Amino acid sequence: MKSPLARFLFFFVLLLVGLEVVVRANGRYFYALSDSMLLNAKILEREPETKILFLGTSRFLDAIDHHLFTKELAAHTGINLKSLNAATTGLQSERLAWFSKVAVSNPGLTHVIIEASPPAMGSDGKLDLPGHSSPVTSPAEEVRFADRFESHLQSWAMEHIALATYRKALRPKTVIKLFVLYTANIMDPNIWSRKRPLESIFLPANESVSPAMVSALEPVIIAPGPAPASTTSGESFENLKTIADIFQNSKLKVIWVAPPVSVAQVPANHNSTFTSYYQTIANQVGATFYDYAGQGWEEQYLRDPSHLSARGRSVFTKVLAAHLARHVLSGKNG
Amino acid sequence: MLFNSITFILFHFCLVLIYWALPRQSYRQVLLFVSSVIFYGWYYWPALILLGISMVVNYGFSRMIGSAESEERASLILKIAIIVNLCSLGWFKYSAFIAENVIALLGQMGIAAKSPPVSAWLPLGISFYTFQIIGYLVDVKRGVVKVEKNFLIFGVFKCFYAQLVAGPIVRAHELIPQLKIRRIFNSQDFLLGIFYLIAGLAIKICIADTLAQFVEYGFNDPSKLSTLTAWTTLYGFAFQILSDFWGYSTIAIGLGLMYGIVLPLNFDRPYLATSLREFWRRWHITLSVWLRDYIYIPLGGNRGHTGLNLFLTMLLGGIWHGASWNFVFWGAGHGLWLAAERALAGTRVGRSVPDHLLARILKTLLVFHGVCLLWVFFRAKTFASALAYFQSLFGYSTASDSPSGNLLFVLLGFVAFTVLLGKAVIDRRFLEWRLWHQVAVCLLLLILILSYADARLDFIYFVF
Repeated sequence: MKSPLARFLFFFVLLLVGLEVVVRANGRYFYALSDSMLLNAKILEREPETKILFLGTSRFLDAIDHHLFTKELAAHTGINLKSLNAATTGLQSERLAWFSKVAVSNPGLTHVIIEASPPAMGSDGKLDLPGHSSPVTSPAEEVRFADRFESHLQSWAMEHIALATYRKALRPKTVIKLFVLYTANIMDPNIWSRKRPLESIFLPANESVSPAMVSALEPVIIAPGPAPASTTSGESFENLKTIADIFQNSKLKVIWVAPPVSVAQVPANHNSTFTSYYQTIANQVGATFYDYAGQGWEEQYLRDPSHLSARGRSVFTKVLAAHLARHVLSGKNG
Repeated sequence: MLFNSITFILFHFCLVLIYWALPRQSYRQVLLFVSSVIFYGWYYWPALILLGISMVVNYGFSRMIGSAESEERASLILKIAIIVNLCSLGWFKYSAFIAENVIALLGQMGIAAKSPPVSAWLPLGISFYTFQIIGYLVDVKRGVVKVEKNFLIFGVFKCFYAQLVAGPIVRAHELIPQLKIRRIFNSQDFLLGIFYLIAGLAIKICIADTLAQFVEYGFNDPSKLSTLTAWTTLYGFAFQILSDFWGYSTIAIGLGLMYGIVLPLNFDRPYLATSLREFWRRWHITLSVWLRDYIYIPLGGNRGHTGLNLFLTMLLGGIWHGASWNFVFWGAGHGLWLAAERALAGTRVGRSVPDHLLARILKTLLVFHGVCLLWVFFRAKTFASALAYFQSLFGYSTASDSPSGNLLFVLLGFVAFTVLLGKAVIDRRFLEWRLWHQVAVCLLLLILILSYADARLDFIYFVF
């Protein structure tokens, strides 16, 4: 092959085919890398000894350090209950429902702690998870032959070419997740999803929390009880109830936790609708609701009005571990 | 058919294979003509009717100009041809805008008027092919090029799919001779063409489309933005529009090279310009040259009222970009700045501006920021929205909903990308690289294209 073009094409196609073979052979890993929820499912699968699972949105992602939680819980109860924070950003209830079904297949799981945020979890948004098919183009665009043709080509490529199927996993940022997958046991995998990851690695916050502080930050606990005055219904309510049901049916203990917000944010986040919403869920599925959202934490513990900073995470993780150790794991209110 | 679709990639590679297998140039001309018609009709087939009419009418005009017995008659036919072309452009692109403003003006005067019928759709690439054909007709009249008698070659010049929709605006003397001579396959050109295609797609998909999300967010509601985010978003748009259009032009040049046809360069690191004049020599080069040759020079050029000529040329350039007051302000802003720059250059102050490295860096930053500020008019949906954006830029707002962290990351990525690809694309350095270097870069770019090819977005200049 003397021609530079022929040599280029030969090696280019050779490498492309080689890459296709590699991706195809490791499809399940590349598949997991393409979505944070899938990655969490893979981490959970690789760590069957996990007992406590955290589920939620970016607020829970910022609020819980699961390695610290496991350590604190062990300090309070003397039992080593391994935990995993599987909260992800941009969570929709359908994705959460999918993950819940995957999670219950983990035999070791005993407790699920779900973030209770203002009832805004809808079912809109694109799903790219097994069992759900998402159209490549919108129905309106499908009208023209040209669009239908392109859509068929894309679908064919997605089905038959691994590089296309797992294309999202090939993004530079996503490839780093391979490292996350293999180090999840020793390093908090969520560090990379939060703001300032390097600071969390090299300068981890470790706030001291006194017993007085634990008592002062006691949450309002809503256990199944009298029905609230207003009737709660709607799509997001049904979605959350479905998720709770999935865990309850598998005999797992479900606890809802509303993480703290800033003082200014309390009136907006914490009102009668919010409480009645979770009271209704608590009644219908027999779960307990830990409400920290009415407390109003100081600015130094928050990076924005509704997300905890590294310091806030350290404090909240310790406080929550202490409260859950006292109430749930001792049998009280559980 | 969009360049960033699988349909197009398959379409193009099939055609290229057939093209080089054809033994005669006339067969190749037929192939290019038919494929260009299919390409254009694929997007919206009724637009073919307009393209066909425009092709036949302008072919007729060019033959009439070429065979006119006198200079006066040729001038008259040229004037009629230009009016016909501009009327067509005006109807499809500006009728709604003009009607809306006339009705509003009459309303101010207390006269109620009904909206007249206006064009409901904008044919793809009409601004580009109208300018290209006007340039050809003027060149025929000036004697710069001979009138093309072969309708097939004329047709390919008019609608060659590589540059039909969004340029580069090709001059007849650049393209027609290449269509006539039988091209011999050149593996170096073909290799460079592949690289341009991949690099252009990467620039469009990985940079422009990624930046588009942040820019869309920022320009949707400028009042929400902190000053820092407003500036970052504006930088984001400056690089989005560059990478969108530079990406498109790079693909177009690559497609041409695969047929052995060289299309002119359209971008040359415009944000490194140290004056606005230099900026326009680096940005959308083929449009700048067109405006210079067919508007600025006929207006009088440098022979008197230079400032006014510059202003009018850029004002028309602004209007060419779109039918809205924002484009008028954008063009007028550039025109005033060019006129001021020109006026200053002739004074003692202008001549005393130093030209050492630091001064050049400062001038580059100044020009870049000036261009960015004018981009606000270009990107904002309405004039009020542009003003609101300026308020966010200069209002020292500390609103906290900021995506600037990610945006800065992408911007830094773009700078790295530009540095890496700039030399290879613009200076054709790709061919000097070692084989492994070439393969690795193309493979890496292809993987990036695949991984980011999530939401297929149209090219910004498609609407112009």
